[in-house]
Amino acid sequence: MAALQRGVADLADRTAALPFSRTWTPVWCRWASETGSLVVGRVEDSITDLKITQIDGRLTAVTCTLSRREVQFWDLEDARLTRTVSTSDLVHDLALGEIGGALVLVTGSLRGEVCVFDLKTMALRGGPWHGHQQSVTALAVATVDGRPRVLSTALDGTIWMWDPEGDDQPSEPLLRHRGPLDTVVVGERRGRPVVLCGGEYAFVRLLELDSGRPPTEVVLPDADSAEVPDLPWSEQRPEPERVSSLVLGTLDGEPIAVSGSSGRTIRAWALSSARPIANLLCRYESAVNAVALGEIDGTPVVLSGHDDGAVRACDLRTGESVGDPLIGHHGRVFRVAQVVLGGRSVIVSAGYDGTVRIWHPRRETDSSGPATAASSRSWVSSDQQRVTAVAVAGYDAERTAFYGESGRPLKAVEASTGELIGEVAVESGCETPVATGIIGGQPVLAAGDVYPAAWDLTTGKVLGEAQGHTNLVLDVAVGELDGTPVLVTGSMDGYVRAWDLRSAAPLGEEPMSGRAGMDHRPAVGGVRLATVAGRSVVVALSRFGEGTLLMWAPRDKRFNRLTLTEQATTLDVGVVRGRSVAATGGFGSLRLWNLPALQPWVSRCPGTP
Amino acid sequence: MGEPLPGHSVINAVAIGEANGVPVVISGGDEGTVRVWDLGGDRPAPHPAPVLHVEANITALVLADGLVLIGTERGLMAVRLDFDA
Repeated sequence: MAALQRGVADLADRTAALPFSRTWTPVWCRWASETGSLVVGRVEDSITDLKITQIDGRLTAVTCTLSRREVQFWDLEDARLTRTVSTSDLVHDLALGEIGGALVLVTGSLRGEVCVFDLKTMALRGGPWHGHQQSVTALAVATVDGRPRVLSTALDGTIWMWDPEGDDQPSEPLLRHRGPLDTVVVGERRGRPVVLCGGEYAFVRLLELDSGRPPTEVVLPDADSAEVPDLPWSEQRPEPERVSSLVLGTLDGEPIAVSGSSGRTIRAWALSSARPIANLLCRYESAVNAVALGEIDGTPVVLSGHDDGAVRACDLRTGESVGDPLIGHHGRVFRVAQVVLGGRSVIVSAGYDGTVRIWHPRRETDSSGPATAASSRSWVSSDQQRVTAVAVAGYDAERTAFYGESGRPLKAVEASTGELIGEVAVESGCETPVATGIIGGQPVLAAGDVYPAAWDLTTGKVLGEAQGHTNLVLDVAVGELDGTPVLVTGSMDGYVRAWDLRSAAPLGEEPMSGRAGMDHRPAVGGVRLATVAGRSVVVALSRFGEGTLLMWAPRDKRFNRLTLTEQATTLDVGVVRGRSVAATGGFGSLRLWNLPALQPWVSRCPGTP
Repeated sequence: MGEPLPGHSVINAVAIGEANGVPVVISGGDEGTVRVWDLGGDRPAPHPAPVLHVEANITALVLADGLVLIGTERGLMAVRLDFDA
């Protein structure tokens, strides 16, 4: 097994051929080849922004997070968290700059406030400025007509331009966009200051600033419409593509702008001509949250941070991948940068897992793995992410395994060989639950944590989708409930819901906890369909908070709830010697339950106290 | 309460199924081990099958007619579970 995981497939073959009786026989493996990063440190929250500067001669990263009222300072040379500074509001975005000869940190908050702090003392130097109606998404510090300015964008679609040295602040935004804005940068074009912003509907807008007058828009040619790949079992429901990140730089002395989008693309524009350098520089398999310009072994590159946890690099001229994806983050990478640290060029990244990481990029891809080993076993080394869920459909040699990964399309592989059959586009973020079932004798699939849907695996048609949850769906089940085709969903919002796939109507919902007036309902972590005493029921398990096992018959509106003495996180149901049982697992224990009575199947294992 | 079956620190995945005709439940946890429990008797008991070690935290398990699919933080693997009934 270890040989297979490390990619030594021939050794795994020879080991497997040894004449020992064995219980576990490795069949195939799709495994990540971790690139190796130095973890500078970790904060127990999702890092939403990272900026790097020198403070007292030390290379320092400044970060902010999703739900902590503070900013963090990391010494990249000593690889440690050195300082946290409290903030009055939740800060989600940062900018660094120099104003009046002093280094400043600009913060943008959840409520829309913009503040300027002296970076060394963290004393408030400007603001709080209130203009935005919603969360600030990006900030920039610039010099416009010889005067320092702070620019901010927000989900409300406005750009404001603040004067950090003046007493009078504008009463109107610089621009009102028709949708949320995610990113803003300020540069120079033909000797004039320009602002580039990006946001929903894949827009990049270029505005020339003219003191005392509204900005002049430079029309950029429309980006070519996104291609819709031909995927099995999927009906494409394109969501509005968002330009998540912009960066300015130069290529061969010419000023350029590079954008990354949720549509998994990277585009590059020549600023002087306002024309794309290439229509589409690069398309990846995962949404782009951040772009930065850098250089790897003399090749100018675009670095990108992705939803699937990878940091990638592509050649700025050709769009070709440079080196292997950098794998190590768990979940989305929100920021990426390249800096020189101790005389070496390194990549710094941060994201959902709360870590700040340092990577040493290489141009060559890792060739140590026997990617073409002539082996009966399939060993696939890839930029594999955390597997969120697995389900199998079909019978015997025809079986297909479906599995979800953080921030990626669902993958379908042959269960007997591990060979990739195709991908299924799902509306999903981090958890991507997957389930299979049978409806009318046909295999069906359900998946997705944002808009879970069910597919007929024979025709590829969408059978229906679940709506109405107010938070991510952590598990799904699909099948028949007393003859009715159903999709069952369990969500972070604390509710189990059942959907009639024939009428596309909700069959019912049931809260995980029976207690009224709870601020935080326990999330639903597992849902299954089971047959108990001849009737179909939904079995659900809470995750986090109060431990609850729920047995629910949506048609009869009957339920039976059992409070557990400890937290459980995972659930399965099955039939053992003719009776329906549920297994729950959590902190330290595996327990089995007799479903008809929702009673424990009394068990005392030999050797347990 | 159901008496806990020992063995793991944190269990992230359980799957009920059959291997060699024996009803079993398998469990996988944070320490990268997969354990088998025998459900063939009157009371669930640890199966004498050795514990399987993989080099990553286990996030998901499926047991389909002796084929065990193991989802982990670093990828997916398939292992055949075989023992004398």
